[in-house]
Amino acid sequence: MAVGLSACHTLDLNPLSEASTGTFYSNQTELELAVNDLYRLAFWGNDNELFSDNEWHRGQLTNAVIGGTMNADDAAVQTFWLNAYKAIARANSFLANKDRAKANTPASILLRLEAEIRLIRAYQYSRLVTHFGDVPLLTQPVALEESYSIKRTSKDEILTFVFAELDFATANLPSTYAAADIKRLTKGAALAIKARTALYMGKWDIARDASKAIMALTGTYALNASYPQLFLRAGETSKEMIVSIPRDEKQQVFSVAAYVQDNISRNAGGFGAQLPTRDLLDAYEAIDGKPIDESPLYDPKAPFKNRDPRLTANIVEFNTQWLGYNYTPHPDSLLIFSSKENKKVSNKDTRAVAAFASFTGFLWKKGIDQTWPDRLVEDNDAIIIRYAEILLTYAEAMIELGTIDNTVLDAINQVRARAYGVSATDTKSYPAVTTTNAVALKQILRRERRVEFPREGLRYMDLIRWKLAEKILVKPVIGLPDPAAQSRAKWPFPGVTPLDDDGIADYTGFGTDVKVLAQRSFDKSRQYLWPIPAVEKRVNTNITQNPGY
Amino acid sequence: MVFLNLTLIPKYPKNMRQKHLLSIVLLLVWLSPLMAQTKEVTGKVTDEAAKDLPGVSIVIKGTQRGTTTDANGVYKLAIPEQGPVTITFSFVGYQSQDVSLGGQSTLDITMKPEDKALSEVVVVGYGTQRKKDLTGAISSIGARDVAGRQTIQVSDALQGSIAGVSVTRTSGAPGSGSNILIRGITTIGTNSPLIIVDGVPVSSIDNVNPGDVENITVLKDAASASIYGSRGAAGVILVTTKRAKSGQGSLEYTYEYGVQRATAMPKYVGVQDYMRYFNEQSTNDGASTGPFAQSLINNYLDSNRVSPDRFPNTDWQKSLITRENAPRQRHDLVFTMGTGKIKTKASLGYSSSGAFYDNRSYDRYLFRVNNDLQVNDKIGVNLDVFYKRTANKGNANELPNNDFNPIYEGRVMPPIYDDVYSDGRVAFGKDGRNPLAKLRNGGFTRSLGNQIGGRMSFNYKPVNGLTVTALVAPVFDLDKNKYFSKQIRYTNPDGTPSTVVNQARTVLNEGRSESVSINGQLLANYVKEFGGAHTIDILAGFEENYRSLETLTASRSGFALTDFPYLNSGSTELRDNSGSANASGLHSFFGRLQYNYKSKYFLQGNLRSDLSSRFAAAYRKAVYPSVSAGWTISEESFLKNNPWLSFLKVRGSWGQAGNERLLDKDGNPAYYPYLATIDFSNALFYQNGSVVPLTGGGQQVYAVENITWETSKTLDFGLDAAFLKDRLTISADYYKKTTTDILLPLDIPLYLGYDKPNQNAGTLNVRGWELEGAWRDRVGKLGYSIAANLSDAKSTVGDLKGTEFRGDQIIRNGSQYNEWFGYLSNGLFQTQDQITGAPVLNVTTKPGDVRYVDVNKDGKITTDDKVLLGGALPRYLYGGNLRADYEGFDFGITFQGVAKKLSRLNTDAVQPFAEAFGNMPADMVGKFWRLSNTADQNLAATYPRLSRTSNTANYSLSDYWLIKGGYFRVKNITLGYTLKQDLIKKTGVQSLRFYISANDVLSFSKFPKYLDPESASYSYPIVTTLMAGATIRF
Repeated sequence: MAVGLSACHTLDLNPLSEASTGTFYSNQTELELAVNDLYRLAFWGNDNELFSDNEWHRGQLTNAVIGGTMNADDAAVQTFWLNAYKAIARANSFLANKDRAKANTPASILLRLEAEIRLIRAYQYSRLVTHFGDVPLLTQPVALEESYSIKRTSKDEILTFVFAELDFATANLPSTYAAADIKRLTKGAALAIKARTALYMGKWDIARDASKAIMALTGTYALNASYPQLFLRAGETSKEMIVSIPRDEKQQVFSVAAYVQDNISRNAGGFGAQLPTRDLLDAYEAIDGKPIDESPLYDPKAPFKNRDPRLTANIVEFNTQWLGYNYTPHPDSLLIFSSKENKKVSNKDTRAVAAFASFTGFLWKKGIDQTWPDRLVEDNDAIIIRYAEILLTYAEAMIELGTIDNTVLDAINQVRARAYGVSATDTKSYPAVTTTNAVALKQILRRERRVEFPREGLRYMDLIRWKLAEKILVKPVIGLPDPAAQSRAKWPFPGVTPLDDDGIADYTGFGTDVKVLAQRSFDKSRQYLWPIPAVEKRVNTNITQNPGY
Repeated sequence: MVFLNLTLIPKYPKNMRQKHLLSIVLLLVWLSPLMAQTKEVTGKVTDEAAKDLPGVSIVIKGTQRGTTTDANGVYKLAIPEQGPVTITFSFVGYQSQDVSLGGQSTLDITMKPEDKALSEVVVVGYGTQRKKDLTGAISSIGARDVAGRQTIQVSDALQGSIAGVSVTRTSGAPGSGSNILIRGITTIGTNSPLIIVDGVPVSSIDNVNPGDVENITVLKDAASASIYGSRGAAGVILVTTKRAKSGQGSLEYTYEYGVQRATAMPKYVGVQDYMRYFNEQSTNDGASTGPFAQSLINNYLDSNRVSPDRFPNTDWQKSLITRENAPRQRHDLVFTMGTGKIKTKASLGYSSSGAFYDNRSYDRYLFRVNNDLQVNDKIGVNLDVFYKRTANKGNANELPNNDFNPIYEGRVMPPIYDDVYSDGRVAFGKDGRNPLAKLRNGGFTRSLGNQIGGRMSFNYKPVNGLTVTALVAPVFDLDKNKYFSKQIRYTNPDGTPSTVVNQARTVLNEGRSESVSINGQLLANYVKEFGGAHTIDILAGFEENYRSLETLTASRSGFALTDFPYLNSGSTELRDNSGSANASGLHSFFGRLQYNYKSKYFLQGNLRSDLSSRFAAAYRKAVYPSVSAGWTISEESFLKNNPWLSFLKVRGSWGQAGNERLLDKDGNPAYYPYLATIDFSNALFYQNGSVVPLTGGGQQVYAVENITWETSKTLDFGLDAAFLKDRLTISADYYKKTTTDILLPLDIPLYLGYDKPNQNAGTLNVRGWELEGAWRDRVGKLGYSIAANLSDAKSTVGDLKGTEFRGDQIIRNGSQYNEWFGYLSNGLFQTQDQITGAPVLNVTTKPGDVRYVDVNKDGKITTDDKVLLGGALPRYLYGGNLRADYEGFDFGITFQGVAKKLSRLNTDAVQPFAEAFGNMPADMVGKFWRLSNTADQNLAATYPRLSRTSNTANYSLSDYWLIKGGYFRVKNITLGYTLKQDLIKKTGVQSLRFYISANDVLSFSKFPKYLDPESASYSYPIVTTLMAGATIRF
């Protein structure tokens, strides 16, 4: 036994199932691993649609943005911040150590990987400055001891850095990848992030140039022929996608059942809880191109008729089959026909039957495919930037620059025409924009963005940068009256909703013919910027806080 | 890895052969007197109460010859005719007696019970010491204090039993144990003490059957614990299991049955109140009306009577908690046999506990054999084998992460959702969430633990006074678990299939893990007395620990059939698996020198050097010294024959101990904290138009390369005294503990982009004191004892490199450890006037919301206004017991309490509408702020207004929600009766004992009646257990 004791095991034990940085980044495979890691959804994404006037959740009622309760301990803000800096730290670590692999990695591949990771890092800073303003700018690995003296860098300085980095990525990334290659970030992705960042920060000329450069990449990007199909599986490999993060149930990347159920009808086994708002519905033009309060074609008794086709592509029309059941929230429709069960069934989508059926009366259709009720899995790719946004970014930048020309109209009309499934030149088949009046065009463009991108997470930043949040995010959330209070003669809507120049709907004239579901609140003294997470200031007193927090 | 010398593992056949051999030897021993000239001496051995003592060992001093008393306490012994003869009488629990035999042929002996108080031997690190020789702060309790508490887990039995040992629990779920802290907080990583069973470190004290425990010793000060070096900082608990003694022979069987009842259960409002108050919340948040129409609410009970399926009214707690009494039972079988050279104690214990709801149980088998073999005068061998099997069973997703908690569901689910239709089929509850359906049809979780271990030690005494011990103890853990969560398809009330399901797919997860840990020790101990006055005791040792773990998990989902919980039945497309492994090791050298002069002056020094694989090579080594001294004043001539003071000793100690047991960000042990490890991830890309997964790799946690040991130094002064012939004993300690280089995952700037690592962060100071006192006496046939203890420890964070903010608690310079950190409140806002211009947290603040104090006077309430609100750790812990025996009756009562604690009121008792739809605590009714109240009613309101928007603000941690959490609790009452031997002796039964017992009987606290002071939010209730049992001994 003594012999056994004297023959010791070693104490130099290394991790058995992980790698360690001491030896990492030493060959092409490891460099690729490091870059791949940053293609995950944690590091990409647009804002939460619930932060806007397009969507509301019955159960959550509110969130810190529309509840006006944002503060420096907000968990969502902290996660957003931390994830951005995690990507930055890993990118910095890659850039500082990549030369370890120089000897055994082709220079062209090394350069491409560097461009990818610098693009991803620039994207993180773009997200940070647009939400927080000034933030710490770290461009190389920082030791813990040094990190305590770091201060916030002005957003202009960071912006300069971001644009330069994106220029580097633009110069060194390919426009496309061969089908057999792994599809990674492209030149177009770098330009698109640049265009969006510039637009958000009011750098109109940069936004114009970057979007123009993408439009000039002939054959690379195009609008998908079908608007509704774009958001389903068929659209995932469309030429319209510039940056998207794949998701797939088989690869264990998907949203869980609760999310799916929140979004689908109760008849189909969902909760009907996460809903389009009434004011989104009212934002869609009539097919004559006029807002509902101006168009003679609009009838509040048949609100889905004669409307921009994107309305019924995005929101479930009443009295249509949806996920196998006729959808109507009408309080007297206690039975509805189900094409799935081929018989009449109890209508769980009216509040006369189920108290928690859609409170606004509406359900999302956009991006929801017919397999959701069976799979209870959402694995649609996350769309980060698509070509339509570039067209509208170009148009908006040009309008803001006061250089309105046919290219502006053409960019907007391409998006509008696609909604109708026609070519932009076929101006008889859709309400083409012809005005060159800057004020009118600005209104049209802003409305166009709202009706084109709902549920894609772009509305929040639009409200922030247009400074409309303080006007819009203080309006109540409007729902259908309770079944008992619903005047059947005024179904579904009691009248034409008046809209102001900013497209803000006014429901105050309808009295009890509409129901106020909840009050939104927005503290304009502070909420245009998010709070720097409280922990930063606790740890490092050099970090200042945004005003009001 | 060379320990596994297979020949060292005990093998039964071999053991049996040895037994045969030895019985032949014994026969020879018995025969040998016949060959010499002998005479016979007979007699009877009794105890002080004149009770016969069977099994007393009687040996002729200086020989191997001897006998034992029979069932009536009678013995016969052949002794040599010639020369003076001394006979030694010895029996467990009694003082040994040497009697010189004159010419008489009968000799009756009365055995005196062992003077437990001070002459008893206590186990210390790598050895034993007489209690009166101790110089460190060491407490110990015996078998009666452990098994007598009638708990399933040893850890539960420690609550309130030793001064300075704080035992906390938050739930009474089947199989749950308790957390143990010795002398307050030491560090963050693992504050749980090191547990040593029979000299070998183990992962949990609950691996031992309470009935197998001979005694438990707690090494509290660093001088005592420093011999355990880098693992001793949080204190050490030494568990010694029972071993057979010479002359013993018995077979004992115990059966016990008990029922467990919840000590407290929160209540929730009825269906109409629920809808009314839910509506009130909606309108408070700006809705014109709530979701429930007034007419619906008014007619609800009538509607429910007419059509219960459309208008459900479910008491979910009643529906799920189908048993008010959860069963618990225990079987213990103990075999004891001790002869001169072979002593065996074998025990087999089985215990099982059920739950208040279905499909939840805990079953445990514990098997242990302790063998002592005396090969010859110089060589002895201990051969122990133990096996533990635990089965934890629960409902789908109930274990291990508590993703499904029936207690929680019962408290959250409001009555408007249906559990079963009137015809008995399960309803779809809240849109497919029906906890009752999950209990009935949802699948199961099952985790099985198998632990097999052995311990073999050689004791070799080459020369007088020197003992060399070699020990090897391997422990193997083979665990497996299976988590099967089934899709449940519901039907509509009319019987047609419903579209509602509880979950999209049936999922099966299986896991296997295997771990090996090996402890090896080589010890040399030399004891020598010089000139009758000087005693030295030297110990030198080497110890090695190595452990490794490998895990494997596999899962599939998409089961077409939901009744086959095997991977093969799942979809081959939807499958996943994973695996991981780690290892760690520790090498240690240590030594101890003890000296005493005439048992009057004591001096002791320890030194340990540890090398741990958890740190980088340059920072791997640590050395821990300690010194202690004692002075037994009562041995001095001026006190020696004092009539009332029988013992008085003062002692002082100083020492260092360390901690290396780090945890990672997820609370798992961190084995490579100094290395920047790359965690693998899965990223998706398109290739040829379809999705392909590629591996990604990134560093998650910042690595602190120079991370090293934390060290705690303790200065301890103590006093032990005994009065009135040791009937009254008192022990007191005062200590100051300073932990430097404390390992904390301090907050690091988030912009660094890493999860926070452990760092050697700074200093933690703990000051405390402990008092223990006991009185024991016998008045005629009544024996009784009273013992009590009281202690306090206050942990204050000294100079710290930063802050660690843990939700609502904080660790920073000058704070207590984990001190509550939040806002100061000043009642509720009553009117809009009070709000206008006042500092508020949000623009949405309205009358009825909590008013916070603008501490930094900047005109607004922000996170900068959060302040320290007081310590969260319990203070002034006390405990005690009273015991009495009279004739065959025995009685014991144990109590425990905490005098001071700042507790946060549980969410399930004070917050309405959990998850935005949940039920509302009944206690809130009439006590919350309402627009419809009068001003006076609102002034008296204890709860804020109902509001989803303001919920986060109102229920943020502030002093508004903290209450005085002290409590007193009767832990155990036991009454037993042992049948007189005369009555049963004839049947061959030695004794028969019946008892009834109750645990956690009642408690007193400032908590509302429906809240247990120890329970956490939504946790399985703390239980009162009522038991009855019997022990038969052959």
